[in-house]
Amino acid sequence: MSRDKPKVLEVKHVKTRIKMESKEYAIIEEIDFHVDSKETVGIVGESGCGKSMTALSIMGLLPENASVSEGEIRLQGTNLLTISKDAYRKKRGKEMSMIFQEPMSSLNPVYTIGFQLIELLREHTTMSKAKAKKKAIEMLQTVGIPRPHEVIDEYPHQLSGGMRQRVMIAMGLACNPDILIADEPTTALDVTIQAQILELMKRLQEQFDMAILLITHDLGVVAEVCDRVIVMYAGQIVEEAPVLTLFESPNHPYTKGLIASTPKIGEGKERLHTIEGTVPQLSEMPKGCRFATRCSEVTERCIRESPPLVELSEQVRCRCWLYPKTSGVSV
Amino acid sequence: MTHFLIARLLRGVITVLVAVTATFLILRVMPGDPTTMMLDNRVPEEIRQQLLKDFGLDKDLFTQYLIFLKQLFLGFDLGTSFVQRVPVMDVILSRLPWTLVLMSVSMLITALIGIPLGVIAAYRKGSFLDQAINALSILGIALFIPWLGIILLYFLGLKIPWFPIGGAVTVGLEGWDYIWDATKHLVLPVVSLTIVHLASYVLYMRASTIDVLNEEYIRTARAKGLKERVVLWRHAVRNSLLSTVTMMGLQLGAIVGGAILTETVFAYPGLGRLIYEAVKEHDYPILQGTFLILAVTVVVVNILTDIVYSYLDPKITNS
Repeated sequence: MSRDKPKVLEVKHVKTRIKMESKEYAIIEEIDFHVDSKETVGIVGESGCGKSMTALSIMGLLPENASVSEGEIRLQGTNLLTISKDAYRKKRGKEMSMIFQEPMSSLNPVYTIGFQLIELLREHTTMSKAKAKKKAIEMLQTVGIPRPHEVIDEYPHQLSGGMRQRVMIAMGLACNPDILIADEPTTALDVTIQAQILELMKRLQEQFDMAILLITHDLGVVAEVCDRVIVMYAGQIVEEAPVLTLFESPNHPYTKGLIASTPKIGEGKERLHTIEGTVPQLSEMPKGCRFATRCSEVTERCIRESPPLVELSEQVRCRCWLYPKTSGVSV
Repeated sequence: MTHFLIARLLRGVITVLVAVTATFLILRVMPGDPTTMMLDNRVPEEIRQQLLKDFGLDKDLFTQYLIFLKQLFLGFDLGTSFVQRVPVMDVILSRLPWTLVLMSVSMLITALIGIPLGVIAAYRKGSFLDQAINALSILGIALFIPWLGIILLYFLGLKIPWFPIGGAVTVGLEGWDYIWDATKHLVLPVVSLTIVHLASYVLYMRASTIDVLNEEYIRTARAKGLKERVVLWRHAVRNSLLSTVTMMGLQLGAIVGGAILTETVFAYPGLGRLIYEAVKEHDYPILQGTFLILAVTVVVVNILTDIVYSYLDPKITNS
């Protein structure tokens, strides 16, 4: 991935706050990354690290008590945070779309698959009803749904989880978006179905020329489909690297821990590595490095001062005091 | 669907039978008998006994019950009113339309106002508007129909005589004049029934819409770039209506109860007022007949509710 590729999505210094019991907390901070066109970027981290909140911040779908308070989110150069609500809405489902973790509950149970697809097409295009229906059937076929002519008149409860996720993907792609944000798209599915869905997403990415931002806690999924990986911890990016580099030479102690705690076939029978402790609570965010309490290489400086995200080489960034500023600039 | 309907109908018949039997028994364990109200206590005992014999009340309870059932199922005969000496069926048929008009107009208006208010309150949860809607609804629940009725009658019937203070229609009118007059008579009773029952619709719809708005398919609808209006009224309301429709069916019993009080206060010549009069006079056949009709109405409305529900919920229609 060279630097001069056009950037589909640029997230700059984004900070999202949430209001709970009349106190405000930053759930994500200093989030800075970009997705090039046709690229697949993965965001990984434990539950509660802010990866879903990052996705919802981009989509403008944050819950009522949360909002982006700082930064820029640029989609094809347009800062989404400064355009009108209605202009933002018109981009959702058309220029950027999102699929979710639970295909079982992501489709409206009282409307047919066809209705939900046609409604989307009619919102964003000037298609006639008949033409939208034709397009809907075509999309169902594209995502590998058998007998699309019948499925179009069926209700979500008549389909399996894997089929529903295919329908969600069909809705995501129907308007040919520049980027698809997939929040744990395979987590709720059987392992065999997971592989099929990932394969489908990769195939469609080629076909539709779109970028994918994949949010997952599963490093196996990341290894399979991503070009670049962003590791998040406690609302911050702690490491970013091309996928091979990340697995071959992880820098941040947290990334090392994550990789070490993934089981590998054919490697010993000793106990699986675990990272002790849990992600700190929003109300108890440490002053220094947020990973300090769980880190095996912690120093005194880590507890006192928060490390910046430092560029280690052209495409590798890491937030850790172990790595001095070498070449790049801190952000 | 046919299978489902037959099962519901059978259950309905059993429900009606139980209701009819219960009414029959309750009436006869009430203190006093029809003659206590009808006759002065100076009337000789033989005349009283003769009257009881005429009414068929000298036989034992079980025989009375058998006669009652036989008349009902073989002759579709509800008996003769003790007081008015006319067939109960005729009395009921002359009163039933007024009650049906009163109840259906009130239910319709309650639903048309209550459902949108509940949805808006849910969408603006925690706002001033939501709190105002909540407070007013609860005030409505707390009101006692006769009290509200009298207040309405005093101010809008007597002080500012916009509406008639009793009855259902002025005698001798025809055509549009008749309809206009009947409508004017209907306003105050409908207003008081509606105010009292509005709250349950509002609060129910509010609660179920709040639940639905947290569902993931609502987030999907927003992720599709649909307008907020569409997300709320098309994607959320259709789902939150499901539980509210069930509640509306169950609520009918309360509305019937409310109708008795309302009709009494407004001297409205419906079934409710008929029941009130018949209780005072121990008119067993009238009470048996009206309760039978009410039981049938409640059962029919509940079956209709189930049909509406199955139409709203594809999980039922398609399985």
